[in-house]
This record gives sequence, C-alpha cells and structure tokens, in this order.
Amino acid sequence: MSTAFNLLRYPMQARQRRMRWRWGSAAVGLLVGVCMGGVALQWLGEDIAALSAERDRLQAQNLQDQTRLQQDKARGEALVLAQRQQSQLSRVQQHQQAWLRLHQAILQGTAHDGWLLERLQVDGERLELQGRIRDVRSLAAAQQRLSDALQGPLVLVSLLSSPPDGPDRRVGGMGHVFVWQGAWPAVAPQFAPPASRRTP
Amino acid sequence: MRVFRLNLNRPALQRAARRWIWALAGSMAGMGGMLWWNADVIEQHSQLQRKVQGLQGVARPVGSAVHALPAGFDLIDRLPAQSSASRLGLDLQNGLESQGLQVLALRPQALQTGLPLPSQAVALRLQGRFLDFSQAWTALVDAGPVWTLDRLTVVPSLPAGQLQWDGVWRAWLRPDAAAEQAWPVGWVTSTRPGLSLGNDPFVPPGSALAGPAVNASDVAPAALSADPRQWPLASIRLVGVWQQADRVQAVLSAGSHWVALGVGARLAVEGYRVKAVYPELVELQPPKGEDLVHILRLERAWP
Repeated sequence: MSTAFNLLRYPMQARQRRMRWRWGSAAVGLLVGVCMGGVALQWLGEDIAALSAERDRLQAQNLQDQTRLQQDKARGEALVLAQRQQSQLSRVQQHQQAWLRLHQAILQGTAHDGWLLERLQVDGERLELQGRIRDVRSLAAAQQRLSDALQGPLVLVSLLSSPPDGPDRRVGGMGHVFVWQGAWPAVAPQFAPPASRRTP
Repeated sequence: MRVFRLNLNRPALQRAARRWIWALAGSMAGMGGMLWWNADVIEQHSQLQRKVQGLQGVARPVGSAVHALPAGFDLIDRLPAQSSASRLGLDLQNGLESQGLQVLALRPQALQTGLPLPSQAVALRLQGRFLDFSQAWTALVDAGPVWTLDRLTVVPSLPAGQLQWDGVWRAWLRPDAAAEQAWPVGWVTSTRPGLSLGNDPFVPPGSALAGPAVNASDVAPAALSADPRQWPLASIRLVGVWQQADRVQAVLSAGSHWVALGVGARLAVEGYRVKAVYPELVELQPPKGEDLVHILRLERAWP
C-alpha cells in the first residue's frame, strides 16, 4: 500500500465526502424536484381555471342553442298549423262564395232563361238541381249559362216531359222536368288522430 | 477521430453520471412526490379537458328560417272559440229569425276537435223565402269564414213562396281563445226590404200566388193550430228525439209548429196517442177500433 498517496486522501474521508455529496445533491435535487412539481401544479391550476371557464362558456352556449332550437321548433310548428288553418279558411271562403254564386246564378237564370227550380240539393261534393222548363230547346243554353256562372260544368242527368194538358199546366205550363248535377266545393272537417296532440 | 473522442468522453460522462445521479434521482423523487401528492388536481385537469373536448364536439344547430305568419291571417280572428260552441246554434237561430226565416228545428251535432280547426255542426230545418235565405247567407259571408253547409235540401213548402231548408250547418272554430271580433260580432242581421215574391226561383213566373203543387192532404201551416191534437196526421213529421235522464220525448212538427211529446200524449185530429218512442221512430196508437199502429220515422232528408 502506498502511504504517500493516502497522506492526501484518506479513504474514510473520501467515502464520507462522497456520502455527503450524495445526500446533499439528493436533498438539493429533491428540493428542485419539489419546486418543479410546484411549478407544474401551478400551471395545471391555471389551466384548470381556463378550462373551467371554457366549459362554462360552452355549456351556456349549448343551453342557449337548445333553447333557441326548441323555440324555432315551436315557432315552426305554430307556423305550419297557421298555414293549415289559413288554407282551411280559404276553402271555407271559396265554399261561401260558391253559395253566393249559386244564389245569384239561380236568380238570374230563372228570371231570364224561363225555368223554374223545384229542388235544390247539395250533399257533400255534389250539387243537384231539379227544375222545370217550358221550352226544352232552351234547356242547353240555360244549362250553359248556369255552368258559366257557377264556374263549373253542370251535367243533365234526367229529362222528363209531361203532356201539355197534364197536371203540370198549373206550374206555368212548364212540362219538362230536368235534373242537373255538378261538383260542389265541400269543406269537410278533419278528424283528430287517435293519439292526443298538443294544442298550441 | 470520433471513436477517439467517444473514448475520451465516456469516463467523463460516467463520472458526471455518478456525481449527479443522486441529484437527478432526488429531483425526480421530489417532483414525483409532489405530483402524486396532488394527483386529484391532475385528474381534475384531465376530466376538464375531456369535458371541454366533448362540448366542442357538439354540433351547433343550424338556425331555421322561421318566417312571419302569412298575410291575411286575421281571418281566424273572426272565428268563435271552441269553448263557445254550445251557444252557436242559438246565435244562428236568433240571427236567421231576425232576417225573416223561421227555424223549425235545431239539433247540434258532436263537436269535431280535429286540427287544423275544430268545428261544430248543427242540423237545422228552416222555413222561409229564397231571397230571405240568400240575404241571410250574404250577411253570414260578410261576417267572416265561419259557417259552411255540409248538406242542404231545399224544396217548396206552404204557404206559397215559402221553402223548406233542411241542412247541416258547420261553424268553424279556433282552438284557442277568441278575439274581440269573433262571430257573431259583425254579423248584420237586419232585414233588407225591397224584394218581391216574383223574383223567387221556386215560384212560376207570372203566378206568384199559385205556388208549388199541393196535394189534397196538405194543409197550409198557417191554418194549423199550435195544439198538436188539432194537427192532421198526414202533416206530422218526426224531427228528433229528446232524452233527458229516463224521460224520452219525440219532437214532432207540423208546418211551422213543433212540440215534444212523451208516451201517452194525444195528438192528431184522428185521435192518436204516442205509444212508444225509439231513437229512430215513434209508434202512434190509433183510436179504438183500429188495429194498425202508425209509425213515424225520423225523416231521411233530415240529417
């Protein structure tokens, strides 16, 4: 063993120094690691706060979108119902105007074309007029004028002639009984579906 | 050269590693311990990240273009409310009678609650002139798109110039509350003078007093008494059946008169009695000495 070498560095001292270095550097490293962890946690905390704010904003936006979607849906349904109601009321108006045209056409037709009404019947989408006329040759013209006034064709479905000296003489001598039929703008109710529906 | 440098550096690196390995291990342990100690913060962060990514992934709804209600929609303001359906028939009766028409019978039907518009039908039998009815209808049309006619049969009646109007009327209703201008508001029911019988399309020209053909058994309604015991059997019609609890009565009409009679009541100049009342017919017991029961059926023309 060389004594000259051991005069400067004793093995025990060297070992103690190495141990001190190890523990010291480990303690410093631990402290640094704790600090680095603290910094990382600080960054995480700030990021959590930012993420929370972003989450709250997105949730509020989604809630707003859902509310707007529901409102749009309700408005859309109300609009569809309103359009259906207006369409139904338009049909009602057309039906009412058809009656006005029929009254006016009958008044003018009987006054100018020389025929007499005996029965007027409307059943659903069918109009039927039974009348009498003196001169059967003017029947077609009267039918055409009434069809024009009603804005729909009338069809002759029956024509009966009575003898001139028969009992029809008291009906103004109108011995020809005719029946016209035509289409009629009926307005039928739409029945509710079996499932209960919400009334707006 | 590179190999030589590596050989030179390897001992130095080894020495540096031996020197700083404890510091490195300490720092790793310190940071790991710190993070482990606050693991809930890391978990919270990861949960928030997933939550935000999930929220950002939700597709935003596309705004639908909802337009305003179309023009002319105020027509619905003329409609009466569904809650007032029960009195519409009486309002109609009062208005028609004020315009010269005589309501002989009125029978409300079941309320139709279907969409888009509910409706209330009323079976109605009227008597009156063509021109009066035409004027009444014109006034109804002016009052709004409320009334339509499902069915109507018009035939001559007595006295001359009078017509019998059998039909089913339908009032269109709104499902919600009525507006201020809802029918019958705005329905002008005053009669308009100036029309003559000569314009009636059911009356032969030049013979306004002749009227339609009269059967021998027909009696002018004006000559009829209000007492059903004075009515001829041939002029009696069954127009409906009333039922209230256990009490059932037949609604019978003759001309412009009508009456509700129960079992046992006397009617007709021929001396009949009401024997039984059914939903569709009435049996009349003839006077003594006659065996055949007379049956009055609900008229088919009457809806």
